[in-house]
Order: sequence, then structure tokens, then C-alpha cells
Amino acid sequence: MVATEVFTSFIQYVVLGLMLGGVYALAAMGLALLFGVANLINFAHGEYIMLAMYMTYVVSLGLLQDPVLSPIVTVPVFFIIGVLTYLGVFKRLVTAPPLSQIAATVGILVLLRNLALTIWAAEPKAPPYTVFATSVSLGPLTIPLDKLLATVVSIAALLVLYFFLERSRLGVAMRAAADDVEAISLMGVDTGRLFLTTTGISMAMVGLSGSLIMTFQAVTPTSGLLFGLLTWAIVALAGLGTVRGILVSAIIFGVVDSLASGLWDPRGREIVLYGLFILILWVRPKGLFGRR
Amino acid sequence: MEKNRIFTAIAGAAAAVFPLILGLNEYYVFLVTLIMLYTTIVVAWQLIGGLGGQLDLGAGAYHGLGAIVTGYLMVYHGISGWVGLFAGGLAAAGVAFVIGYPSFRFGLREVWYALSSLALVLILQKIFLLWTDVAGPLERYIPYAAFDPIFMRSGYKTFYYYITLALLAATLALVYRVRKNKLGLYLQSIRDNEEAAEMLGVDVRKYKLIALLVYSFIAAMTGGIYTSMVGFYHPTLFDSWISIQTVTLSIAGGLGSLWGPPITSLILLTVQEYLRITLGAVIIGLHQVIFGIILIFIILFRPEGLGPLLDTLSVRLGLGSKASKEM
Amino acid sequence: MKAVEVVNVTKKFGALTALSNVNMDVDIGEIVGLIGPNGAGKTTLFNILTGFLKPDSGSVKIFGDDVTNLPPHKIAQKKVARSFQIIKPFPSMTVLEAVMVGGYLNTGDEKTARERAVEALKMVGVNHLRDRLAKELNTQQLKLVELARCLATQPRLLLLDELVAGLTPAEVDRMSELIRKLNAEKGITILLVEHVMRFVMKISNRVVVLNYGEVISVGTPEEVSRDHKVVEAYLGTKAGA
Repeated sequence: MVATEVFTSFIQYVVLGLMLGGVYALAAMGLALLFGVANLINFAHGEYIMLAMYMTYVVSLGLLQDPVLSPIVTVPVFFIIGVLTYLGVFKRLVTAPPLSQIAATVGILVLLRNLALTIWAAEPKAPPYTVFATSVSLGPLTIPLDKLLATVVSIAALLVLYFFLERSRLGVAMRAAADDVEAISLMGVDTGRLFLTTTGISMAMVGLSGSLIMTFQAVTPTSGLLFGLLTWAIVALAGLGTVRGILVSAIIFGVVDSLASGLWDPRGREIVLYGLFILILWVRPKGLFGRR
Repeated sequence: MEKNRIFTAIAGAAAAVFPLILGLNEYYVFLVTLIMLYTTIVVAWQLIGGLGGQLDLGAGAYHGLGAIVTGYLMVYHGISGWVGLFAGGLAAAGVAFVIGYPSFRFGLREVWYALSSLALVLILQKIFLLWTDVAGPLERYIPYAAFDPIFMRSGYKTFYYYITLALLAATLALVYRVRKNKLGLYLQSIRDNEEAAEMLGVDVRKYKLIALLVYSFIAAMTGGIYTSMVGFYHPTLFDSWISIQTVTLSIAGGLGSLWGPPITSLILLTVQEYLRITLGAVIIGLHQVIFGIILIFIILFRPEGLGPLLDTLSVRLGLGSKASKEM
Repeated sequence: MKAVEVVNVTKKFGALTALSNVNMDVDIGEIVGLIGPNGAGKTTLFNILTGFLKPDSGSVKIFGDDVTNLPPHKIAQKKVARSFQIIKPFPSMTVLEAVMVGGYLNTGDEKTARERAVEALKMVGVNHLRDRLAKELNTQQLKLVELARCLATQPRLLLLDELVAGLTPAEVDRMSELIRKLNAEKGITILLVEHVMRFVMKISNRVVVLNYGEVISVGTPEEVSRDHKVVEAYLGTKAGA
């Protein structure tokens, strides 16, 4: 009786965690792409996710009513934001040493965070009622439909990205750049344009994932730090290799996140997540972190 | 150099009577003391970051820990703040060791070191948020005393001004000496090329740790002074903004120079306070936005920061010599 | 006691065997040249000798002490210095400061460190550059500074990795003179990796030849240059396998 309830709760959290992980994977993928292909350390990645979440809130409040439709706006807008960021800042950073990249993107971090603080103040914002706010029952488990939909969309986006990287010319060029930038520029690839597109795609994914994450959590100006550390942690665990690696890593973090919040204390989840991050950094072999 | 000493003497004298210049206005003295506290962290950071080349974002963690430990001892055990400062420093150095030793042993560098030190700030904040016996979500207040120098508590902010001035001066003197001795030279070699340094007999991990422990100790002391001054403590003192601010000011001031970071800190922190007072009420967060813009601007256009500019200025004034190292 | 004793050292990188049961030694006071075609394992051996890599099996002794598992700085503290194939300067430090880092080995006294540094700078002939920042110098000068850095540690054993690569013949000769002086006057044992045959054959007492991670020949320069195995290693065999 009690044991099965506890067990059911546990499975419930795990399932939620799996879904959360699916969505985190998309968020982390943008970072991995930028880091892997353009060799760019974006310390403000979490803040962009936060911005996407706020945009989802604003858009669903004002224009589109249902947050489910918000990617229609956030994805293209964030692609443009990516292009602008590249032209404004990243372009010059690509050749700069890592510490400079970190410092400059910390500057972006500060800008975005305080922008959010100014516009929306410190209270958490969550999107309004969505048409999918029902749940599906799977035996003893309750699966919220909106979260399920978000996970499906996320996985679909990752699949699209996977095939893009494998099959399309641009995708192959991006993978080649991840291995050896000099070689591909010698082969005539315009690395500037490649990085520009990479940043655009990376940000578009951020835009989408921001909308999706909103089905799981509300947003505050400090969310940026949380998602920043989380996505970097996912990248650290996955190494830079593959979409699948990021997905697996993200799912692990999603499950840990869900279990920590559910079984312990929602305020404790960050301790567990960041603690796990640091442990991974210590224990993983050095080879995965070295700059190429 | 003769002129250097005269300059320092004048600056020192001005600093010593500054509260009087401010007319002992409690509010202004408080602001200046606060600025000096943060400047002290920046100067101490030069050990691990400026000289050692490690992008440490843990200042908020150590400052916060010093505040909590000192405050807790004062509130719940009636222990003097002086002891509290020392205890806070030890606690911070202890935590720094626990996270620093494995980090350096496993070769964490650049972005990974930056991220893990930033994570430390947030981890400690959440831990103390949950640790209701010591801190918890409610503020804890230190009993008021008009002037209790033994307990290290006073209603007069000028009291804290002089304590902070002493700490800042001591930290400046420390960094000045370290820059020229074996520790400073070894740290710079680690910053410039770890492998070459190893090959010359430099125990890289040991020296990084030394720099980290000293800096965390001092940062914790600033936290202890702060908490005694404002009369309370709370987990929000584990503030990532302090970490970011410290690094921004150090970069803006120029990583190689001695005077660049502190002078830049004093100026920019004053500007920040001014913006907070005038615009902050209307547009929350604007004063910090300035820092973001400064950081981006400097990295893109003037990566050496203001350090070289200040050095040239000092040459024009006839103080010191061209290479900032000679200062 | 020998300066260097390498006993049965093997090192693999995944499927690639960089060193296979390498045995060699260097007597105190010798100058030994280590040669072999590219990829023969010379730099790997250097990295093992200086503690940057650990061998999969075998052991290394330097001046009688087992250093197989020691980290680089501990080996350096035993008075072993090494220059790098790709120079590793300290860009933001002055030449004097950089060399003083070497001078501070096993001492905390600034005066001592400075004296050692200046002596090293003079020996190498770059004392006039002492106040210049490393990032202002050209490769040639940086190589000399790197050598001075090594000498400031007052080593008993000096490992030189392609010291004269890219130097003009006149510069190579000057370097030979310097190395010979260091060996004769200061008694420094020298092990050098080189591709410039003229240099290596002229100043080495003995030469060790590596190919595909194995020692294929040991002897005086004359003996080794006549050894057909060595010729084959460099030029390939005449009629295929």
C-alpha cells in the first residue's frame, strides 16, 4: 500500500525527469553546437534561454494566447538574435583566447539578466492557460499532456538536427569544422558565414527550447544562471561528440533534477545539480575538456 | 622611487581623514566603506586571477561565507567579530581547499574552472537557505551596540571605515610584495604557460592553491566586516554579482598592473552607486547593465584594460616606470 | 651511477605503440644524441623522462633515483631541465623574469635567483634582452631564452628537443660551441633529440637511434652512420620489403 505509493511516486518523478531531460537536451544542443563548431565559449547561453522563456510569456500573453504557438515567434526571432549577436560580438571573439570569450559573454550575461530584471522585475512568470493543460493516465501514472508534447517536439527537433548534420552540406561542413577549422577553410569553406549560420541555428534552438521549458518551470531573472550551469554540465558529461550523447546526458540530468525536487526539496535541486556538475568535472578524463 | 612614496603617503593621508572630509555623514561613509570592501576583494583576486591566471568566479562564495560565519558567531555565540573574521577566513579557505585541491589536481582550467567556481556560490547559497539552524530564509540580526570595539560592533559607520581601510591597505601591500617575490613570479609563469613552469620545477597545483587560499581568506574577511556593519546576515549574501563584479573590475583595470584594478574599482564602483541612487529606483538593474557594456567593450576593443593607460599616466606624473611590473 | 637509465620502457597510445621495450642509458658527463625518423618516439621518450607521461611498463632512473612516477616539477627539482620542440615562452613576462623562474629552483632567495638568471643569460648571450617582454621577441631569440631558462636551474642533466631546428649553419655552429662548453666546463650531461645531422653527429659522444619505437642502433656517430639498419630506417630498403 504505502510501498506501492512511494514506488509510484518514484516512477512518476523519473518519467517527469525523462521528459524534462528531453527538453534540456535541446537547450544544451545549441551550446554544444557553438562550442564544438565555432570553438566559442558562450557564458551567456543560460541568459538567452531565459530571454526565450520571457519572450514566450510575453507572446502568449499578448498575441497568440496559447503558449503552444509561441515557437512560431521565438524560433525566427532568436535566429535573428543569433545573427545579430554573431555580427556584433561573436565574430571578433572567435579568434580570441578563451578567457576573453568568457569575459565578453559574461558581459552579455549581465546585460540580459539586468534587462530582464528591469522589464519584468523579480517575480516568477509562467505562461497562461494552454489548451493542452490536461493529463493522460498511463496506469497509475499521470502524464501532463503539455509536458509530453514539449518533449516530443524537442526530440523531433533533435532528430531534424541530427539528419541535418549527417546529410546536408552545411551540416557536414559544421561537423568538419568541429574537427579541424583550418582544414575546411583551406578547402574553401567560408568559415565566417559558417559560424554565422551556426550561431543562428544555435539561437533558434534556444528560442524553441525556451518555449518548451516554460511548460515545466516558471522564469525569473536568475533562471539564466541555472540554465547556463545546467547546459554546460550536460555538455561536460556528454563530451562534444554527438546529438545522442547530449540527449543521454540531458536525460540523466533531467531525472536527477526531478528526483531531487520531488524526493527531497525543490530548493535543494540546485545543490544536487551543481554538485553533480562539479563531480563530473573532477572525475571525467581530461581528454574530453581539452581545447582542440 | 621617491615620488612613489610621496604619492602613497598623500593618498594614505587623504584616506585616513576621508570620513572627516565627508563630514562624518553616516550614509556617505557607509557607501565609501562598501566600495572599499569590494575593492579589497578585487585586489585580493589579483593573486588567483591577475597573477595566477585562473578565472575564479568564487568571490561571492567566500565573501558570503565570511559574512555568515562571522554573523552567526556574533549572534548565537556572542563571539567577537574579530574572532569571527578570522574564523570566517578559515572557513572560506577550508572550502576553497576542498574545491580547489581536486579542481587543480584534475587540471580544471578556463571555462570549467570558471563554471565550477560560479557553481560554488550558488551551492552555498542554497545550502544556507536550507540550513535553518544557522541561516535559513529569514534574516538574522546582530544585537545593536553604539560602540563596542571588543565585540567589533558599532552604530557608527566610521568604525568600519577604518577597519576596511586597514584591510585594504594590508591587501595592497601584500599583493605589491607578492608580485616581486618567488610566489608572484611562479604564479605569472603558471598563468603564461603551465607546462613550461612545471618543467622549471614549479609545483603548479601547490602555488595555485596558495593563491586561492589567501584570496578566499581575505574575501571572507570583507564579508565579516560587511555583516557586522549592516547588522544582519542572510543567504543572499552569496551573490554571484560580487563574483562577476570582481572579475569585471579586474579586467577593466588591467590584469598585469598593481594600481589599475583598485583605482578602476574605486571609480567604477562609485559610478555604480551613483547610478543606483539616481536611476536604480526607476530602472532596476540599470547600474549593473553598465558593467555588462563595459566588459563587452573592453574585451572587444581594449583587452589590456585600463592598466597600461594608468601606467602611462603615472609615467607622465613622474611616478614609477614604464613597465607596470616595476611598480 | 648513470645519469639516465631507461629500462624496458613501453608506451602505447591506444592501438599505436610509441615505444616498445626501449633500453638505453646515458653516462654522467656524456653528450648523447637521440635520432630517428619522424614518429620514431623520440619526443614520447623525452616526455616520459621529464614526467609528462608515464610509461605503461618499465622504469626510468635519473642519477640513481627512480623517477618513473614522479610529476614533472619533482623531476625538475632533481636538476633536470628540458627545452621544448615547440617553444613555450612566458609572453607577458620580461626575459629576466622568465629566466628567474628557473633561477628560483630549490631556493626562495631573490638574490640567488637573480644571480643564477643573469649568469645563464650571459652564457647564452641574451643578457642584452633582459628587460624585453617575451612577446616582443622573435623565434630565434625565444629559443635562446628558453635555453637560458633551463640553465638558470643549474641542471645536471639537460634535455634538448630539436634545439637547432631552423637555424642558419653559422648559428648551428655557435650553438654547438655553447653546448660543448656547457658539457666541458659545467659538467652538464646532455641528451639531445635532433634532425640536423651535422650538429648531432659533430658533438655527440654517442648516438642512439630509434625507429618505430624501438632502439635499432647504439654507438659512436661514425659507427651509427655506417650501420645499414640506420640507413634503411631513414631511406627505406632498396628493393622493397
